[in-house]
Amino acid sequence: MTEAAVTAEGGAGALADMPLFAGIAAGELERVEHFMAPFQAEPGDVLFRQGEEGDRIYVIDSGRVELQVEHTGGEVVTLAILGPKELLGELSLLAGARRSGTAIVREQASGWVLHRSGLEMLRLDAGAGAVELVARMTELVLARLRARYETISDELALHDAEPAPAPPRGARTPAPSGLAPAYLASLLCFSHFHDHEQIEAAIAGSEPVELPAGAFAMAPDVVAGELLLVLRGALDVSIRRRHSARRVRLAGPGRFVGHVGALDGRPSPLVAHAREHVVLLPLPSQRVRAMLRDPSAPARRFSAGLAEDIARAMRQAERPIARMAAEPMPMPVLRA
Amino acid sequence: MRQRPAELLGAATRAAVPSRPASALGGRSVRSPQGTSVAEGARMCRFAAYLGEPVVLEDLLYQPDGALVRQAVDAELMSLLNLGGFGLAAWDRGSVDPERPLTYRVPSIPNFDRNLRALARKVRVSALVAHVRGVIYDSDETVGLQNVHPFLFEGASFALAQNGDLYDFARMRYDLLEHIDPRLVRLIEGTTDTEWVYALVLSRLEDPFARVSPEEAARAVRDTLEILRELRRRRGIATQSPVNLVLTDGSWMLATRYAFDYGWYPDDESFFAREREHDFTSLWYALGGPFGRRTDGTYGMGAGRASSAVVASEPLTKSTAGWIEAPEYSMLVLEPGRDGSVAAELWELA
Repeated sequence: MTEAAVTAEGGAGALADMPLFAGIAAGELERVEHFMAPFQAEPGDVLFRQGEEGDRIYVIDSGRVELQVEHTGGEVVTLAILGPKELLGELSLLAGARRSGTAIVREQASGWVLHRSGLEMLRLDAGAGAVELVARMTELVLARLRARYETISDELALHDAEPAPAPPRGARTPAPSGLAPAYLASLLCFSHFHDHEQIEAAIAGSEPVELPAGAFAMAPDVVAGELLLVLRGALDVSIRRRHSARRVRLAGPGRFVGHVGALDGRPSPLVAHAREHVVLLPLPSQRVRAMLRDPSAPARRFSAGLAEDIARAMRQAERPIARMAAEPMPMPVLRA
Repeated sequence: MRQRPAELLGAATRAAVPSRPASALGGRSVRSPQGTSVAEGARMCRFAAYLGEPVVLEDLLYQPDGALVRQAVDAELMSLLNLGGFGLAAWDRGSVDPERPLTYRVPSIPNFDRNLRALARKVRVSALVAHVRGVIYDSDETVGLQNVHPFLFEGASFALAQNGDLYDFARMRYDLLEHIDPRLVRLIEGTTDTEWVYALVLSRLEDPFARVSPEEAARAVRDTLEILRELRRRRGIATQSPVNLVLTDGSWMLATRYAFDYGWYPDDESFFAREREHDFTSLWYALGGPFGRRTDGTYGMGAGRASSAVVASEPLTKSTAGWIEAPEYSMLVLEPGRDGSVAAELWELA
């Protein structure tokens, strides 16, 4: 296998022809194009390898790219075959994590590459085209996260037909003091902010609440009216059946819970309970959804942190699937 | 013991709400009421452990691009250098007195240690626990041989190392006395929380100096965590304290990925406050054929049945290919299976 060359004169089609960019005004698209580079790759070329730093996103215009993952014991499993109009490599770039798989070109491929620096420039750009593109990318990652949760839910249902009874939501109490600015600024979700005033503007109107350990914070199969931001402690997020369940995320400080549901307006399969005594900031769904396309600086910075958190949630949700896919290696069995 | 495959990790089993001395969002002191700097307990280390078919020690300690010795100064998942010493306990089935491990401990970083390098090239091990000790850069720290992991008391059958720190340990250290076998108290030489935790685990066994099954050891670890939780509650200590332990007697291995009060950090510029940038303290493992250099030049588990396992604070390769992140609040139990395989189980920890 050879490393793929990103060519300056790739055979990529026009950005406007791709769904991700559809409807964006020509002038705006021209600005966006400055942040991207065309690529062309031959069969056998490796776009990236598992374990490498994720520094770019590929937007595939033509061809086929296989995404492989190596499991414990050296077994290599094909995760997906990606084709035209699909995004590749966005998770590790957004999550700030190493590549979780290896991408190998199977049919001559072309498209566009967005490097980390290009993404940063897009996020700084308050133009309508850039804001719309960043919002669409966030929604694409969100859709993948929902699909992942549904796959896990289906897997569980195969072995456990009965749905879990809805847990009672725990009684919330107001957190006893205000939000310490230095503490808020240190949280990962606010890493794109430069001053506390902008953080305040992004979360205006929300007041922190507390939940004791063990209490439920989010029930499944309802349309969530809020996105929860963990300020202290941790929420355990799982998908449950009557006799079984699987954790899809442990969300500590600076992490959001309930992206799926709050952002796409559909019922979520997730249950969240306080793994530790927890302090949460509930953010109204409508407000968070509006911020995705709000060109103001606080909204763009908030949305950047949110997109990264969705990618991190996706990486966490992939863990149990990786363990299952590693059959026939003897996989751990949980004992109480 | 009941088996519960596909059961939830982290079920809502904890009913008690820990007392918290300060407001939910306000600041919390990092100095104990007695004036002892709690930074003394701030040790975030790295460990690597192996169980299975014999491999050359060098392949675990030096050769991979994320090998343990490299992690002393270039860990992937932590920013602190691990300058507080290096230690190992290694078992070789073919050696004289195979149940007794080879031990090697120095209070300096291993990167310049020619003796260790020479030893690592020659020795094959079927079980290993090795550790680089992280200490904060402060003159309050005690760096010395007595604080180097792994700990192995004379006469005890298994060794223990930790990646973690019990916040404000100085305030609860002597509360542990009532739970520790007096014969073991006399063996504690150092100032680390880990050595006390080791003594506590041994004290949970019917005979601290007898060989035990992995299940007995796992129950002792679980009981130890319960005692620590209760003592922390009694002292009002409710700040994040990771307790990632690894234990082995050369035939079985246990490793916890656990923390008390995850997500509760002090509001200051201390070492502990900066921890909040990170996720739950990491633990990774891999199962497969013996670990080593593969035909494509990369390092990892060999293909085929799971005859071997590596457990480490972070993968021994920069690539995470072939590595599995252990779930939070869990204990990995590895023991000999049929036909020379290594059987793995995960226990949920409350």
